[in-house]
Amino acid sequence: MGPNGSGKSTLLNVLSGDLWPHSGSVEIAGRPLAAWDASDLAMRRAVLPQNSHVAFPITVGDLVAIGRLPYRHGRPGSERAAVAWALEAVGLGSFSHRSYHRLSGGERQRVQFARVLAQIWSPDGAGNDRVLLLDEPTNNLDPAQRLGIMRLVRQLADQGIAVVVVLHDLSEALRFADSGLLLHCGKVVAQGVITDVLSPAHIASAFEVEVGILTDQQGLRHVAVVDQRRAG
Amino acid sequence: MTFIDIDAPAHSGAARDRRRWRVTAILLVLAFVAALAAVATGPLAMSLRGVIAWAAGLDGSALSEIEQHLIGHVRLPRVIVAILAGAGLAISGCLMQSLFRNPLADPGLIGVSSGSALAAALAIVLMPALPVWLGGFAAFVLPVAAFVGGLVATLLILRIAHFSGGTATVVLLLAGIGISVIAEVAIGFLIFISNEQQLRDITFWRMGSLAGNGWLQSGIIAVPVIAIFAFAWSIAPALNALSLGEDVARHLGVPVQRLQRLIVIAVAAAVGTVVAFCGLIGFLGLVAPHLARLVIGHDHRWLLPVSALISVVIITFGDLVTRIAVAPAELPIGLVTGALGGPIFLYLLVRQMRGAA
Amino acid sequence: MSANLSRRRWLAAAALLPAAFALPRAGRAASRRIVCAGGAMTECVFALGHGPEVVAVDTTSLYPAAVHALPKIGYFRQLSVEGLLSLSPDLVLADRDAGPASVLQQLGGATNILRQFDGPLSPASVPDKMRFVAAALGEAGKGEEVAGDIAADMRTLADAVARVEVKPRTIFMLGTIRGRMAGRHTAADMVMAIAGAENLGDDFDGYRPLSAEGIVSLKPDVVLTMFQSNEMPVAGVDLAARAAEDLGLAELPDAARPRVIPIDGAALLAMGPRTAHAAYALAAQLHPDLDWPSLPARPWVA
Repeated sequence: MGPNGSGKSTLLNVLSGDLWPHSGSVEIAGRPLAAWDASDLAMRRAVLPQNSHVAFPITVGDLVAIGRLPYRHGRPGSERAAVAWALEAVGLGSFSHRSYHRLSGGERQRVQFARVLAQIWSPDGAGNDRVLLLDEPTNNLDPAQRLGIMRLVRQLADQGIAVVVVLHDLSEALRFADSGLLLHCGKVVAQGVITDVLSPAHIASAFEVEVGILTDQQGLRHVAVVDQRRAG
Repeated sequence: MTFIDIDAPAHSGAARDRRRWRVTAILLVLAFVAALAAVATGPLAMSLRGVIAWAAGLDGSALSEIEQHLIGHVRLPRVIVAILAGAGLAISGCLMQSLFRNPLADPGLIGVSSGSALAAALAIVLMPALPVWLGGFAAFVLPVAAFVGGLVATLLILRIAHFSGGTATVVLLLAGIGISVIAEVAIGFLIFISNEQQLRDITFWRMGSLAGNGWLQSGIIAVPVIAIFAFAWSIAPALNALSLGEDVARHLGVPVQRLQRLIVIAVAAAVGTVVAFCGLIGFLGLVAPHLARLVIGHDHRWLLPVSALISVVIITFGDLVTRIAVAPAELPIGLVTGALGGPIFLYLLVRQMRGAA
Repeated sequence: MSANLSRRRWLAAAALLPAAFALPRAGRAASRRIVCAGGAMTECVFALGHGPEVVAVDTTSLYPAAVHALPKIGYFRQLSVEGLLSLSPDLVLADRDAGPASVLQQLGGATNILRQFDGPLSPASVPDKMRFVAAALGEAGKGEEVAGDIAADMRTLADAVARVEVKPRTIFMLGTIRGRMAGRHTAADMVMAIAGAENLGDDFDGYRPLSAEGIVSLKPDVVLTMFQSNEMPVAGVDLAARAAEDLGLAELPDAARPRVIPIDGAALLAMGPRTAHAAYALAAQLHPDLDWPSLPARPWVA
């Protein structure tokens, strides 16, 4: 988390190997990124970029199936199963034959998410050592869809997949994340357990805005921005 | 058949697969008919029955000696060159469109056509200055120059793109435009100093022709065209990924940079060779993949063979038209493909603009 | 359109008449079919009296008028092997620059009907060209005769031009609107030389664009422009005035305005049988002060 320009996407790019860090290294399953075979890595780690432009006419099913590229020498049936599962998971089970370009922005976002899910799906369902890097996956989505996606993300994490999500909505972060990293101008403001990271003091120093943490009847916590002019 | 889609995704639907097979079968039949028509007809009329009887080995005397020679050494290699050129240009077009993620991209973008055109113009204008001992090799001066020119222009563009950081396709595109402009200026200068005859030679060369290609030429063209088909086929899934974006492809384990370089070099070799022996044949590389995409979708495992087939059908029929339309003279093939391709291109452009709005 | 065509046919027939009378018809295979690629080739065949055997010509063949009615095999450097064969010719006569080479190779591979002249493109080579065509037609004797006549005319021209003391400063313009000037190693340069003109384009090879201002700055006495043989008989049109207009020279004061002489491009530059006469006529126009007795009439020059 962090304000615009704080380095969230940059950090994600470093994690995905698109950018190389000046110092330090990124390791997945104890192996530095550079030591991975590209295909093996792609079976372990999937990335959802912030916005994807698709220049060619393509069906939803075909687009999601592209996520299975690293497995093209694997079992023939697995592609169809993975695609079906991924589309089901994002709530677009019946969209397989639809044209991607006729979908709404939110639906497109979910199709892209499904592609990323298909990439790390494995027949045995085990999520061990798999990494999912998501750059603002809830962009363009309406509240119900956001909730659906974030629940899915949580569920994936519960299966043992390491999910790194760039989020704008701090309440979502509080509700779904285990741990967090708060950035400001390329520097770490706080990191660790999410409830500690997203303290009003940290948020104030990162976002330069005053907030309060509210708890609703169900015990869910929300970050509320305090409008200083009104409060004062 | 090389393009059996073994693990077609189930969600593509049996109906769509049937449709794809049907389209492929129709195109194969059309291509076969076109090739047959091109071999059996032309300015020199001969009886179809005689051609078939002779070809089947039933009646060796069904055709006169000249007719036999015409079919065996002129028409047949020419049809094969047409098929190879058509397929090579279409496959190159598919690769270019995936590389640039733009359905309006064509092989000319990486400078191979302008480089070839410049070298060809140079060869035409400087030919009189070449030593006489070239003798029988004179016929190969132009093709060799055109091929080398195309390759050099492309390598130059790659180098510039690499120099300015990676093979980012935007840089590649802009470098291609720059090189094309320079080549165009140089051609303009050559036209400036050319005589009437050379001027006409340059003009005709730029309109393309399949004339004069024999077995040797078809053998030479076959090498890079078969190679680029095999290459493109082997990376079809990666091409699908690449058309979603370089980052997407990279995250899926595609060695994007290396692949891009390979694509550029393969296209330069294939298009360079075709252009060397056939001159510039416009629009096939652009239009064929486009038409294919309309009928069978964007999956490269289908797109590659189907656009090659479409291109083969167009160029083979087109060449037949060039041979008989103004017989005993001949039209440039580029006129025919351009006459077909121009309107189709505009139609697609308008369609795409509407779709984007 | 059809009236025009029939008039052309009529003209063609008329043009053939003198040839038919002048040349013996004996010893000619009436059924032979000849295709010519190159204007000079066509003219040679007609000069040797074998015009009726020509079944097709290329687009640079503009003379005699009979050729306009014949099928066209396209530009002589863009021939089609099958197009040629479809005419079932017994003989294909190709000039030096005919092509493409690959097509001619294919034609040579298919048959033994191709004869390509490989001598240089120059006025001096015209008699050789005539002998070459005559040999291909099996008319060596007749060819020797015609070649001798042409060589004699060339000599007459050379002797007459030798009298010239001051060669006019001359520019040859290929095209009048955005035209280009002839330099060294061009057919125009050779023609200027034999007609007694000084080519101002003596510092470059080939052709180079030249504007009206450029023409004036070179201070030429004469500007030669080209028209095609088939444009020639346009009644009531002053070709010289029109060319001067197109070149942008019409508005110049009289003293500064070069003389514009339109020449028949096909007759002069193709290096065919008519070149000697055309160059002689040009020399006469360039040097009006000298006496120019007519060359002997030749059947191949209308």
